[in-house]
Amino acid sequence: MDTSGKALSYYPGCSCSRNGIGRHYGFSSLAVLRALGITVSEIEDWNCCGSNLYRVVDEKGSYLLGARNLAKALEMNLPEILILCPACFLSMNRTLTEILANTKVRNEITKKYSILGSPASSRLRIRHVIDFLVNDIGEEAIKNRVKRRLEGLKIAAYYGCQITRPYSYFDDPEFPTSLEKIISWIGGQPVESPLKTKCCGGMLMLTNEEEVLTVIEKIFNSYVREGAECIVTACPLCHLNLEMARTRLGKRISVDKRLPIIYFTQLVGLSFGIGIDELGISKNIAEHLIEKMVLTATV
Amino acid sequence: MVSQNNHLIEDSYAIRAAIEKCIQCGTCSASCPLNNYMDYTPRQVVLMVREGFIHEALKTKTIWLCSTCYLCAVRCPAKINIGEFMTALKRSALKNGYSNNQLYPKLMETYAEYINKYGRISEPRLMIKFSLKTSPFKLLKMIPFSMKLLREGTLSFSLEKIQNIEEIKI
Amino acid sequence: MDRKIGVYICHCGLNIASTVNVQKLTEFAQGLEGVVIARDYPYMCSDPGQELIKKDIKEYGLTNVVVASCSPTMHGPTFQKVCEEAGLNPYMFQMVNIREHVSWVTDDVEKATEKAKLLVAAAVNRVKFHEPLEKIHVPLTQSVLIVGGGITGIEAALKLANSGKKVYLVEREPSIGGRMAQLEKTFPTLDCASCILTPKMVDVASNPNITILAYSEIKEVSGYIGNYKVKVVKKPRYVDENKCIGCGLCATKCPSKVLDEFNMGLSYRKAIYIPFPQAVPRKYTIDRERCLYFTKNICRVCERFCPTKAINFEQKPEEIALEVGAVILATGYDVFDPSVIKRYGYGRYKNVYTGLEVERLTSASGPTNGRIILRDGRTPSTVVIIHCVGSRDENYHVYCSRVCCMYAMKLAHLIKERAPNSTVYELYIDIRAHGKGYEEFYRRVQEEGVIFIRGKAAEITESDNGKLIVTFEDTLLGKVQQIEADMVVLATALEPRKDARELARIFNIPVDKNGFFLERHPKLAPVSTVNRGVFVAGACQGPKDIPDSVAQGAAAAAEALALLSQGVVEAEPVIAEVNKDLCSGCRICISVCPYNATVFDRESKTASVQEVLCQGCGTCVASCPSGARTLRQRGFTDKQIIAEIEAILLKRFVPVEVLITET
Ligand SMILES: Cc1cc2nc3c(=O)[nH]c(=O)nc-3n(C[C@H](O)[C@H](O)[C@H](O)COP(=O)(O)OP(=O)(O)OC[C@H]3O[C@@H](n4cnc5c(N)ncnc54)[C@H](O)[C@@H]3O)c2cc1C
Ligand code: SF4
Repeated sequence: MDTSGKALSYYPGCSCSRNGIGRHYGFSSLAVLRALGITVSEIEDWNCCGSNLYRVVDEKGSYLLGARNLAKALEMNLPEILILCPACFLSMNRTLTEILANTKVRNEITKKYSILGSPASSRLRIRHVIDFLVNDIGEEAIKNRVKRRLEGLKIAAYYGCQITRPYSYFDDPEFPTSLEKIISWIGGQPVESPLKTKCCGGMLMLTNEEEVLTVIEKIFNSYVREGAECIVTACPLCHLNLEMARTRLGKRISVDKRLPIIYFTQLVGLSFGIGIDELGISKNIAEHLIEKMVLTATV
Repeated sequence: MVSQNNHLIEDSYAIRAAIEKCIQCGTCSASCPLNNYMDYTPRQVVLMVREGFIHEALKTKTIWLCSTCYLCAVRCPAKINIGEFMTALKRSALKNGYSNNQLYPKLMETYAEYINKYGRISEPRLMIKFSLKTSPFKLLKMIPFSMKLLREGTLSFSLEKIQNIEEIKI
Repeated sequence: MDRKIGVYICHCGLNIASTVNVQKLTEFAQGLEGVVIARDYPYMCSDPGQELIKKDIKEYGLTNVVVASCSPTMHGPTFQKVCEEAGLNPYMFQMVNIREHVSWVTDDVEKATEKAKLLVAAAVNRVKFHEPLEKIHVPLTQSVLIVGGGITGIEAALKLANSGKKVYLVEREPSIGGRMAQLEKTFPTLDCASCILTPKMVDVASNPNITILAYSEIKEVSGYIGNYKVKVVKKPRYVDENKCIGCGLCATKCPSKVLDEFNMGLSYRKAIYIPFPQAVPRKYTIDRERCLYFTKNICRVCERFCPTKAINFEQKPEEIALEVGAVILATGYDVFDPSVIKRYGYGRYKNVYTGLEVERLTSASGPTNGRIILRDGRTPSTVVIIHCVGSRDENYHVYCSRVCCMYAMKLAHLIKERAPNSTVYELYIDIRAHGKGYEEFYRRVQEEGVIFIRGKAAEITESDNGKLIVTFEDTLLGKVQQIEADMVVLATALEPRKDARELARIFNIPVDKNGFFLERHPKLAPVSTVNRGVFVAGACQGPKDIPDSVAQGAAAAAEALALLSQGVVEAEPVIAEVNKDLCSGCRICISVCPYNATVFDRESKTASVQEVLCQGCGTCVASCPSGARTLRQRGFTDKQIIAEIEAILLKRFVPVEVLITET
C-alpha cells in the first residue's frame, strides 16, 4: 500500500508521553515511523483516556474523557488516530463505539462536543501502531528499511490483553499473529506461547501483588520453555509489570538476568539502524542484541 | 426470588445482558487468569445478580480481582461483555459503600483525583500517593526497582495540566 | 353499487380479545357504510364460527365478507373456503390481521382498538371493489425429482416409487447413502448403521421406478408447480457406468494415494475409487485432481487392467434434461469446522478429533478397523468429549444442533466398549435427550461409567508430555478444574450445506436466518415451502437425527403424492393481466419480471402474461408506462389499494369511486 504522505493524528496518552513510564515506547514508535516516512501530529492538549479505572468512579465522565480527544482529532481534520498504549486504544475505541451505537451516550456527549454528532465523526478511526505497521506499511516497506537482520534470533511477542480485545478488529482476539509477522520481516524467529494474550494483571499489581506475580510467573515460564532470547512488549503497563515481576519473582523463575524485555518498536528500530538514544534503549541491552544481528546495509 | 436490593445495582446494558442471556456454561470462569483467587467464580456472580443476591454479589472478592482483560468477553457464547459487567458491579459497589477490598477503591479514588485536577495522570505519582494512603511501607520495597527505572531514564514526576479542566466535566 | 358486507371479528381466545376491545370494534364495524351485519366470536376459525358466516351469507345475501382475525397466510384459505361453500366467490373476501399486526404488538387497549378500527374500515372500503375471480388449473407431470441421496432422500424415493411414481434421485457424490453411511452405530438402539442402511440403498438401486443420477448436480430449473424443467449435469467419472462391474482391480493397481474424505482424512484411498464398500451404484470414479494421467500425462494403469474396458479418459460432462411435477430437496448438512475456535486447538493438536472422525475410528470398515487408535499410535486412557462446539454459541451458531448430545453419548459408549480401561468425561451445558428411548440411553451410558460434568471447556492446552489439558468450570461444584486427557472429541455443530443458498435460489425457496431451507410453517407445514411444488426434508431443513429425517422423508413423499394425485393443480388467480387493446408493446414489463412470466406476443404485438408462471408480485404493473388500465393486477387494482389507503389516511369511510379515475 502506498502510505507516503499519509497523515495521522497521534494520541500518546499519559504513559507513552514524554513524562510517562512508557516514554521509550513512544520515542521508539515515532522514530520507526519517521524512518518509514510517516509523520504524525500529536493531538494538542490531549487528556487522559481514563482507561478502565475512571469508569469505575464515573461512567459518563469516562466517555467525556475519550470524547474530548476524539473531538480534537476531528478539529485537526485528522480523523485517523494512532495510539500505542493498549489501555488508551481500548478505551478510545469503546468511547467511539458507544458514541456511534448508543443513543444515550451520544446525546450526552454531543451536548458538549457537537462535532462528534456531525457526519464527519463517521470518519474517526482508532489505529493501533501494530495494525498500522502490518496492514498499511506492510512487509515490503519494512523489509526494505532493515539494516541489521536478526538472523533467527528467537523473539517472544507478548501482546497482553487489551490490544486485541474486545473492541479491536485487526487481529484474532486470542491468537493474533501481527507481531510475529513484524518479527519475521526483520529476520527474527517468532516464539509461540499460548499465553501471549493472557493478562499481566494490569493495575492489580498495586492491589493484589501476589496473585499477579503468579500469573506472570506462568507467562515467563512458557516463554522460557520455548527458548525465547528476547521478549517484546507492546504495552507500557505489561512492560512495567514484567520488569517488576522479574525482580520480585527472583529465583522463582529461571529467566536469564540478561534476557532483554523491550518494546517491539525498539527492536524494529535497532534493526532499522536507528540510534539507541533515539530509541531509549539501554546501551548494554542494545549491544547484547546487536551482537546477534547481521549487518545488511551501512548504518 | 426477586430481591429487595435491586436498587443497589445499576441498570446498565452489561448487567441486563448478563441477567437475560447467560447460559451458565462457565466459560468465563475457566478463562479467567485470576480465577483461583476468587471466592466465587464469575459465572456464580452472574447467577447471584440474576437471582437477586445483589448484596452478596457486591460483597464478593471476585469483582475486585477482575483486571478487565476481556478473555471471558470474547469467549462467552452468549456474547456477554463480562468485563464490563464486572466494571458495572464495581461501580455499584463503590457507590453504595460496599467493599471487601480496601485497596482497589482507594486506587480508583486516587486515579480520579489526578484526572479531575490535571486531566492527566503520572504513574509514579499515582503509585506514591496510593501507597501513602494505604501502606506507606510498601514504598520502601519499591526503592530498588525505582532506582533501576531512574537509571534507565523512565522515571519522571512531572505532570502537565490540560489547559481547561472544565472541558472534561459534565 | 349495492354492497352487502358482513364483518366478523375473532377474539382468538384471549390473543386478540385481551388487547382489542372486540365489542367496540364490532359496534364500529356495524356502523360502516355497506355493512349489513357485524359479529364477534371467540374462535372464528372453529366449526361453529365458520357456520356463522355461511348462515349469514345465505340469510343476508352477503356480497362481501371481511374477517378480522389472524394472519391470512394462516387462515385466509379457511375463510375463502367458507365463502365458496356458501356460494360466494372466494375472492369477494378480505382478511384483516388484528393479531400479529395489532394485539401482539400493542400493549395499550385504547390504541390497539383504534388501530383495529382503522384496519377493519380499510378492508371494508377495499372489499367493495373486489371482483369475482376464477382459479387457474394446470396439469401435472407424474414424476418427482429428489435432490440428495442421504437417508432422507432414500426414504422419500422408495415411498414414491413404491406407489408407482417415477423418481429421479440426484446425488452429488459418487454414491448415495449420505452421512449415515459414515456412522458406525446409531443411537439410541445402537443398531449398526450400514446394516439398516445398505438394504435400503440396494432397494433404491433395484427399483425400476427410480433412476439414480449419482455424481451429478442440478444446473438449472425452470417451469412451475406440476411442470418443472430441470437440467442436471452428470460429472464425468471417466469410467463407463454401463461397463464397470465394480471388481476393483483398477484401485488395487492405481499408484496414486489420496486422503480419504469418507474416512475424514484418517486414511488413504486411490485416485480411482469407490467411497465405501457398500457404495450404490457400485461404479468406480477417477479423481481427476489426483490421477497421474490427468496431472502428469503418465500411467493409465487402470485402463490396462480393467477387464471390461470401462475406463474412458475422454468422458465429458453430460447434461440431462428432466421434466417433473414436484421436487423434494434432501441435501442434508455439513459439519461445523472447529478449527475456527482456536482455543480448542483442532488442527493444531493431533489428538483433538471431531465427532465424525471418531465415528470413522470406531467403524469396523474404518481406518483402524474399529479400534480406538490415536494419530500418534496410542490407545487413550482418558477421553474428554466436549459438547456444543459451534452450537448454542452466538459467535458461531445460536441454535442447538439437536443430535450432538446423543451422538456424544453414543461415542462415549463405543469408546468404552473398544477401550475398556479408558475413563470418558462428557463436558455438557445441558443434556438434550428428547427422543423416544433417549433419556434411557443417557442413563445407560451413565451406568456404564461415563462421567458427566456440567460445564463448557474454556480451552485446551498441551502439556510438555503431549497430554491435552482441558480447562473448564464444574458449574455444579462452582470450581474451575482441569483434566489431563489423551484424546479430546469435539461434538461439532451441524450447519447448512455450503451451497444451500445457491440451491435455494435455483429452486426459488427462502432459507431461514441460519441458512437452512425454510419450511412454509414450522408446525403445520414442516416439509412444504412457499414454492408449492418444492418440498424439503431431513437435515437440510434444520439439524435432525435419523428417526426425524426418515419421518420427514416419508412426509415429503406423501405431500408430493398428494399433489400429483390431484392430476391438475389449482393456481391463484391473483396475477397480472394485460389489456391488449391498450398495450403499445414497449416490452418494459418483460424486462422486469423476475419469473419470466411476461412474454411478447408476436402476432398481436403486445405483452401477455403466462398465467401459471405469474406469482402476482406486481413488478410489471408498477413498470407499465401507460398505466393501470393497460396492465393491472387482479386482487390488487389501483381502486382497491387506494380505497384501503384512503380509509386509513383520511378516515373517510365512504365509497371513493368518485376520487379515483383509472387512467
Ligand atoms: C457425528 C455424528 C453422529 C451421528 N449419529 C447419529 C446416530 O447415531 N443416530 C441418529 O439418528 N442420527 C445421527 N446423526 C445424525 C444423522 O447423520 C442425520 O440425521 C442424517 O444423516 C440426516 O440425513 P439426510 O439425508 O437428511 O442428510 P445427509 O446424510 O447429509 O445426506 C444428504 C445427501 O445429499 C447429498 N447432497 C448435498 N447437497 C447436494 C446437492 N447440491 N446436489 C446433490 N446432492 C447433494 C449429499 O452428498 C448427501 O448424500 C449423527 C450425526 C453426526 C454428525
Ligand atoms: S461465559 Fe457467558 S454464558 Fe457462560 S457462564 Fe459466563 S457469562 Fe454465562
